[in-house]
Parts: sequence; C-alpha cells; structure tokens
Amino acid sequence: MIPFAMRIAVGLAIASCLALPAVAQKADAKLQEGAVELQSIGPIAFGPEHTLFVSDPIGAKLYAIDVQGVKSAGFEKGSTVEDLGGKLAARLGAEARDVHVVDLAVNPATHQVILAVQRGQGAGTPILMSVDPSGELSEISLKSIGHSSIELTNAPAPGEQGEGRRRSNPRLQTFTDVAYVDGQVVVAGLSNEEFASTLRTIPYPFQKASEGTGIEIYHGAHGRFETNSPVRTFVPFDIAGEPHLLAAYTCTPLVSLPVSDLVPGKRVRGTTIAELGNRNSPLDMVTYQKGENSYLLIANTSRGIMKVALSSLDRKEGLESITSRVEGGDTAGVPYETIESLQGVEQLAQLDAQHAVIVVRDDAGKFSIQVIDLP
Amino acid sequence: MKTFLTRSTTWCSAAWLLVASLACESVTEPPPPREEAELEVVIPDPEAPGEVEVRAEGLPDSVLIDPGSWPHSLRVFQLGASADLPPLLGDWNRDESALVFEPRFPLARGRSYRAELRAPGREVDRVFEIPAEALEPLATVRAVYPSADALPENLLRLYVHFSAPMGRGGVYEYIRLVDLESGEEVFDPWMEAEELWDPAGQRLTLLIHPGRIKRGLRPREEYGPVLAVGRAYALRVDPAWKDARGVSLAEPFEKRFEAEPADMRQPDVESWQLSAPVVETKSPLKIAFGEALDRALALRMIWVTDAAGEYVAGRAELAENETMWLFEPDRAWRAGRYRIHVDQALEDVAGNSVRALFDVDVFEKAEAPKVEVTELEFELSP
Repeated sequence: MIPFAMRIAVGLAIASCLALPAVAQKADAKLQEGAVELQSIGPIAFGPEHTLFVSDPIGAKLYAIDVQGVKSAGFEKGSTVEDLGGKLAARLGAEARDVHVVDLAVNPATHQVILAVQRGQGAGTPILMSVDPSGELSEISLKSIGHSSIELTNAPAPGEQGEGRRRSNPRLQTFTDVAYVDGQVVVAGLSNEEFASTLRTIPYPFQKASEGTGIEIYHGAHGRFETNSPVRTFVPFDIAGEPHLLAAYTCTPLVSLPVSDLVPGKRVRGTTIAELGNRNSPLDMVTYQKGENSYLLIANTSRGIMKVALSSLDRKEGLESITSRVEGGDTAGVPYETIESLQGVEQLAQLDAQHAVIVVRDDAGKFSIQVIDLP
Repeated sequence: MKTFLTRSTTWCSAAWLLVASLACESVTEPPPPREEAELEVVIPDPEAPGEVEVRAEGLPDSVLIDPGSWPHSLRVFQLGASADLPPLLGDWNRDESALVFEPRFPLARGRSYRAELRAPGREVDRVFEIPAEALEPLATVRAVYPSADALPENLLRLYVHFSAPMGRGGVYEYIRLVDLESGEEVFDPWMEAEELWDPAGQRLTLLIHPGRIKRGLRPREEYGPVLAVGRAYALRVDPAWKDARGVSLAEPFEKRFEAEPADMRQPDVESWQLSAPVVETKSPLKIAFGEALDRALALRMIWVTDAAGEYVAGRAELAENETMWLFEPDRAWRAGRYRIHVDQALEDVAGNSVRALFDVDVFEKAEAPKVEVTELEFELSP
C-alpha cells in the first residue's frame, strides 16, 4: 500500500514527464494574475502543479496561488535553519515574540519550504515567505501573482441581515488544517463560538461562488457517547484501496473517515482507530511507508512526537478496533509509540519518502527548521 | 511634509521628526577615484515616524543602473541580540541620483537600526533610532461570560472581553484557573492549540479541553474533569498581558465562581417563558430561558420576524446572568403576529445545543428530526 499523499506525488511526476502542453495551459488558465490581499493567514498546503492553498480565516477565503516563481532552493537531508524566530524578526522588523509561524508547507515537486507567517500584535500582518536551506528568508510577493479564490462563508449572524443591529460579527472560523485530496481541498475549522464540527470539502479548480456547507462529523467514545466535534488536523491515507482521512479531533481520538463520505450536509461518523491518551491537542500529521509497514507521525502541543503503526488499518476488521470500553487507562486501538527525543515540534510536514521537515522549539525558546529521518 | 536631515546627528524632538545625519565615511585606502557617499534617513510623515526612507547618494553609476545590485548595496538591520541576523525586507527604487530603500514594514518606535551602504569605494554605516512613544496602560478586562458565580462542572467555554484590542500569541501564560481550596492551579484546563479571538481582538474564547468534559475519553479518566462540583475557583488574568500596542493591562482581573452539578439537559425552547411587549412602544420582548445560555450564540441565533416574514430590526441583549433575552426593536411594535426563530445550533454554557446534547449517549437517544430552526409565535393585539 502506498500512502495517499505519496500517490499524488507519483502522479505528478508522471504528469510532468509527459508534459502535455495543452494540459499545462488549461491548468494555468484557472489562475488569474492579480493581487492577493490576505486579511489573515491560516494553514497552507500544496496541491497540484505548484499550487499552494492559502487559508485566510478573517477574510473567510481560500486561495490557490501559483508559487512556481519562488526561487529558493529545496531542502534535503541535513538542511537546518537555526534561530528561525530571530531571523524572521530581523527580516520583518519585529520582536521575536511578535512573529508567529502559522504553518509550513513543502512543495512536493521541488522540496522548497514555504512559511505562513503572522507579523505583529493584534490582528497582525499576514505574510507568505520562502526559506532557503542557507537561512535566507524572502517574501513571496502577492502584489501580482496567479491565483484563484473561493469564499468560505463565515456564518453571518441572521440578525446582521437586517438594519440597525450589531455592525460587527464577532464570530470567527479559525482554520486548523487544509489539505488537497483527490481533486478537492478539505478544510477543517474551529469556531470561536459554536462547538460543532465544520469540515468542508471544496472541489478544485474552484467552481462555486461560495462554499458554506459543512459536514457534520461525529465521533464516539467507547462506542457510547458521541459528539459533533471539530476535527483539528488530518492527513489523507488509503485504507483497503480507498481514500480516507485520518483525522484527530480537538478532544484527542484518532479516527478514519472515508473521503467518499465527505459530502456537504451529510452526517458522518468517524471510526475511532486509536485513543492517543494525551492531554494535548494534535498539531500536524504525516503518513509514510517503511519497509512493509505504514506509519503515522503526530506532532502534539507539548508531548514528543507519536508514531502510530497503521498496517492493521489496511484490513477492514482493523477499523472496528475501538467500539468497547477501554479499561484502566490502557491505550486503545492501533499500537503507537512516543518518540521522546523529538520534543517541542510545532510544525511537521513531509519532505520525501524518507524525511520530514519540522519546526522545533528548544529549551531556550528558540525555533529552528530541521530535516529529520522518518522514524 | 517631508523631512530631510543630513550631516548632523540630532533628533528634531519637538515634532517627533527625524532623525539622523549621516555623513560620509570612507573605507581606508579605497580604490580610486574616491567618492563621497551619504546616507540619509527620511521621515515623510512625522505622524508616522516608523515609515522611513533610507536614501543613499553618491553611488557609482555601475550600481545605480543595476537593480540586481541594490539589495547588496543598501541594507538596513534591526539592532538586536545577534550580529549575524539578516537585513530588513523592503523595496529599492532609484530617485534620480539616489538609491532609496523603503522597509516593508514600519520601523518600531524606541528601536535602533543600522543602515549600511556598500559599493565600490564606498562604505558607510550609520545607526539611527526611531523615537519611543510613551504609552499608558489602557486595556482592562471588561467582562467575563458566563457571568454567574455558579457554573456547571461541564462548562465548555468562557469569553473574556477586553476594553481594547489585545496582542495575540502566548495568551495562556496570562490566564490561570485556580482552585481556591487548595490554592493551586487547575492542571491544563484549556484547549490551547488555537487562540480563539474575535476579528477585533477584543474577545478571547477560552475552550475548556473537551477531552476533559466528554464522557468516556482518556483525558477525563486520567486527570478528571477540570471543574468539580462544590469547589470554588478563580479565573485570574495577569496584568502583564500586553495589548495590541504592546502595553500591559491597566489592572489585574479575577472572576470567582463555584462549580455546580453538570448540566446534562438541552435548551428546551418549548419551556421558554415569553413576556410580550406593549404594542405602539419600543418596550423589550423578553424570553426567560430557565437556564444560562451561551451569550455569543444567544445574541446571534435568536431573531424575530413579523407577519410578512420581514426581519424585525432592533437590539438584543442578555440579562439575569444570560438566562434572559431582551429585544428592543428600532421601531415601535405594531399589532399583529410575530415569530421568534431559534437556530438549532444554539448552545447552553455546557455546549448542549437545541439539537443535541454535547455528548449523546447513543444507546439512549432517539434520532432527532433534522430541523435547522425552531420557531415560536406570539401575537400583539391593538
């Protein structure tokens, strides 16, 4: 079995070998040259053909941006950028504490590393940057760049449709993860008001003017209590030949969801495959193959990275692994181990079949970018 | 107004003006011909002293005609802890005989910078500072909701309202939930992965870790619920928390409350008590919920339409510790039928919505019909 994200990369490689000009022109035609004006920056993710998906939570928009013009070199085994926070602060003219790396994405075709950065206090200024393995940080100018976008309706207050009521909408959908899966962009969100799940799937190239319908994702505990709970982070993965998402909820269980079930307006119940039993929230996940087996790496808010063996999921019976009560605080579901040597990992993204790129914070609070061997 | 100063290292403090002088300074034994080069820091708008232009004069033509060389010829560094940090991002332009650098972002007040000119035969370095601004602490915690002093042990979220926009990042350092009996902080109560601000940066949503609330999950089994019935707690806000200007809060804040038994019931719209307003007045329409509802959601998810189905404009507020909704119309009530709409996603303070409990016992629940909005009707007589 090949993890789904890798399957996409293989597909891209074949497409670029054939290099059909007609196909390339059609792809370009979807993206219009012009200014992208981000109000904020949330998670970012690569799609096909150097397309970077960039989420804007305050603007309630999702952009597809052509980053083929980025000049930085690709990362490889051994690449390290020390004191990323200090360098970003120096480049952006800010205090290190006022610079936040919101997300990191790796272009699967070039291994270039792109950072979503927020500068400053308050709402801050969103900025998209490329980082070279030499440590050079450059802004990806959005003044004139090939892009397309779609609105992700930010649930207006019904009252706001009338006159004379509250003028501002304090509700904000924070995007917690974005990924391109099988011709669609999946966006996970967390509201600062209602708790309910708001996973959205958006066909790409973007078509509709607005895409506001969420999917109700439920998740059970011990096969008994279920909650319409927000998905925090997810990663595509094939189970028994079918595309799935492995998704982690805000309240810790790890579930699988068939991609074919992710239809707007539908109620979907994730199958709990592991309860990771930690007090923190998962930040990022990648899947990879090693030898005969597939694994999932999960970065958490403060624990070491978790490595989950996924091979049992390849059989349908593996999916039913947690439907009864787990006694005595034992770990339930698929086996996992905690890699204690990897502490303070704040961003995790796949570089290639053997490596991942991480943003890691040391004991002194300094950030660096490192390339690690997938364990 | 555009201010240029050269050849004198003085601040024009009376008007917050500029700035620096930047006379020339050549390298030792420069290659001939030796030319003079100058660096100027210009503040076009004295009201915004951080928005500077750094101008280099006296550069050789070989540099001026080659835009590719500009980023290496003229750079500005933020002076800080480490000497080997990269220069500021910005744009370079040629203005007749000058090369002009404009930083991408305004320079920070009270900070020092070094402008550096490097070209064949020219090497100039100048340090300058953007004058600091004396800022008084202004921001305070204006309110915390739910406002009651007794809250259910399965409380899902708290809203902290500030009087001014706040800084983001690292906010959980400044918030403590203290068990008043033991005097100790409650272990890891919040879902910290995100900071849930409103767009204005004046309201922070604190989500109690759902894994500690939802029944049957390991975080709750290992660490127990965040709040325990009968115990008293204080939510404390550290005044060191900085606002969006980088200035600390004007004062500390504390909210004390006691934990009550868990709220395991959904908001029941059928049992709400309506107090009809008086026709031909703007007196408020009142709804008593019989329990505290989530303030933000109740303000957004309840609305009124008239007999024609038109939205009735007005102002909603919550009272009695968020157990009552008050709606004052912009225009006086007229006789006729009205309808109150309630979105099924409306939650109480424990995350139980009109549609479902926060965590549904699937062995006990009946599949509810899928309705988005519940409606209540009332009629005003002339």
